Amino acid sequence: MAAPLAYLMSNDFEPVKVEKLDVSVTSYETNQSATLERAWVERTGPVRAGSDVEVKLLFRTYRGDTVSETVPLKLPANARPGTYSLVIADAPTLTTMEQREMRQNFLPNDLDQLIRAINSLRSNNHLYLRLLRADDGAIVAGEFLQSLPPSVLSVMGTAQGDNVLPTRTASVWEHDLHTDYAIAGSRTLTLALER
Amino acid sequence: MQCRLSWSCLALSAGIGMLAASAASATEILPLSEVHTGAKGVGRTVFEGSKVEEFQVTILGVLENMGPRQSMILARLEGGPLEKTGVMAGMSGSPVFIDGKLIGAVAYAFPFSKEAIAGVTPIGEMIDATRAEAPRASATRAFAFRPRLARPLDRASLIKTMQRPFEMLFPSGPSAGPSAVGGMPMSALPVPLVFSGFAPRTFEWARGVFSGLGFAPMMGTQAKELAGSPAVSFEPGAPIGITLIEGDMDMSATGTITHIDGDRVYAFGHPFFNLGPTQFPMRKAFVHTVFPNLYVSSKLASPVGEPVGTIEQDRNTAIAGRLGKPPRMIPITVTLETSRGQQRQYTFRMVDDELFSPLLAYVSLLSVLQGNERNFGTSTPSSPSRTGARWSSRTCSRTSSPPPRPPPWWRRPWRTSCRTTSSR
Repeated sequence: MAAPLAYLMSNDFEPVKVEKLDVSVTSYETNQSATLERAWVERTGPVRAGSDVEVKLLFRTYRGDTVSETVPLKLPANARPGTYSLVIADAPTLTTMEQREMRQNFLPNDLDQLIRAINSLRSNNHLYLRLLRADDGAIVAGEFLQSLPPSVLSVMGTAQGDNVLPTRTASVWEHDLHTDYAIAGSRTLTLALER
Repeated sequence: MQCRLSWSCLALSAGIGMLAASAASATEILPLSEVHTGAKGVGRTVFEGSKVEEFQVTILGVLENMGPRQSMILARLEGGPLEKTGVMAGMSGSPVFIDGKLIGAVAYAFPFSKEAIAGVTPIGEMIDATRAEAPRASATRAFAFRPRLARPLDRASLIKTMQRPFEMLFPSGPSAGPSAVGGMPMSALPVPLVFSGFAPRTFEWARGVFSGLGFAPMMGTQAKELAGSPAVSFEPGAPIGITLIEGDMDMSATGTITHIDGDRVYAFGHPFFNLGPTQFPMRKAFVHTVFPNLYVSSKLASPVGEPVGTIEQDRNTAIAGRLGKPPRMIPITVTLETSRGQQRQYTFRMVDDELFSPLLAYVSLLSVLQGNERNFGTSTPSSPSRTGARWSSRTCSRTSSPPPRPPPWWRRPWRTSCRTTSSR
């Protein structure tokens, strides 16, 4: 609560008047943490665009109990055949992976962008699933534009500077799984989409 | 004729108003050039309760150019408990008079000193430094706080933004004013910061933080418990409270009023935190007692009653405020569902300040958790990660879940919808 408030109140764009703060906290006298132990995709036939697959997740809690979750993954109908990576990660791991790809400092252009960034902060009781494929895109003025047509990339390529940063992956499906635990761990699975 | 009469009445009533104002500012000021070594005078402060008492002052010298066009009057103080306590925290701002004319405010002291020798800030410098009418500009202080954060934003790096201003500004606390006189360390009197309604563990943590920032943190009582106390005055020499948090928890700093000129109030003789323009509530205060201490003794005081005005300036040589309308504060509601299934709600308000508000929000939330949960053993607090944000100039709300996905070739973070009208 305090850190986003500090960033918001000391922003460079316009004065922010905070009207009120409402905080709700639930406290447990237990260690509500779990690690991601296994992740696999369960399928009965070939994986094709538009088909449904189930992502199975197995967590181990602090006391050693196992908890399983199933996340339905509906592949987009327009997904191209090829190799896809299914990244399943906790908040810090996914953020670190994205920071490594973006290689850019966070310098918001306006208050809206700053608020969006604060709102997009990831929670440690969520597990994040991303289905990625190799594809060209760019970060333009802080906004993530993916799967750009070659003509657009070509124009951007000539105007590359601090404001345009090329990216090599695109996300075709995303899911945030809310859990009752502070989650740690990550897995990357490979999915081959057939024609 | 009737019209002329009413204008006369108006002029008369205006004259009475001006007379009242001039009576409030009747205090004569002695220019620094007329303050000489050996001169005797009196100072005023409250040692206990709400009665303003006098102590004797002997001028030891005028130290010119202690800072950039800043001077200091060195004085020996005697009387009351001063022989036992020395110059104490909470006396900051105590006015000193020679021949009934105000020369300045007690503001500095030598820690571990065997005598009550104080540095007095000249009143002219206090008035001059706080003379500003312009409101605080946007991002006035923000330039110093901009750390380089990675994209996408993560919590760990965001926490740095909260710590960085304090680390950058005062790596070892805001030691305002001259650092040494005659080889002896001299420092601004610490500002007593009274915590009430806080969990003891939180106070221990906060004591370390606020001590490093130049305050003298102490546990105290809440103002409402003093309702039956004798009437508390608001005059030069009386204590003044600056409230940072009020409500179910209270955190207030105290010092002494130096001068009241009409509705303008001067105090401290040194900075509160040298924040420049501020909007802090100004309150009357009550002195419970003094704590003699070898390092620097301290008054234990608590603010009393509702705010009487606003501290508008926090400068190197004084703080200054205006009697009347109190400032707006940020209301906070913390709802806690304890591990025993009870629901507790805390409501309080904190000052609207870009430097202090985040720290105060953190301390108060920590206190709620530590005050209700066990000290030893595992504990997991959980809070909904998505909260609504609302500004007065623009209204923004967040969706609790991402909207339907855009076409796969065009990914953008989901939008915060904003509109320019305020909403309730």
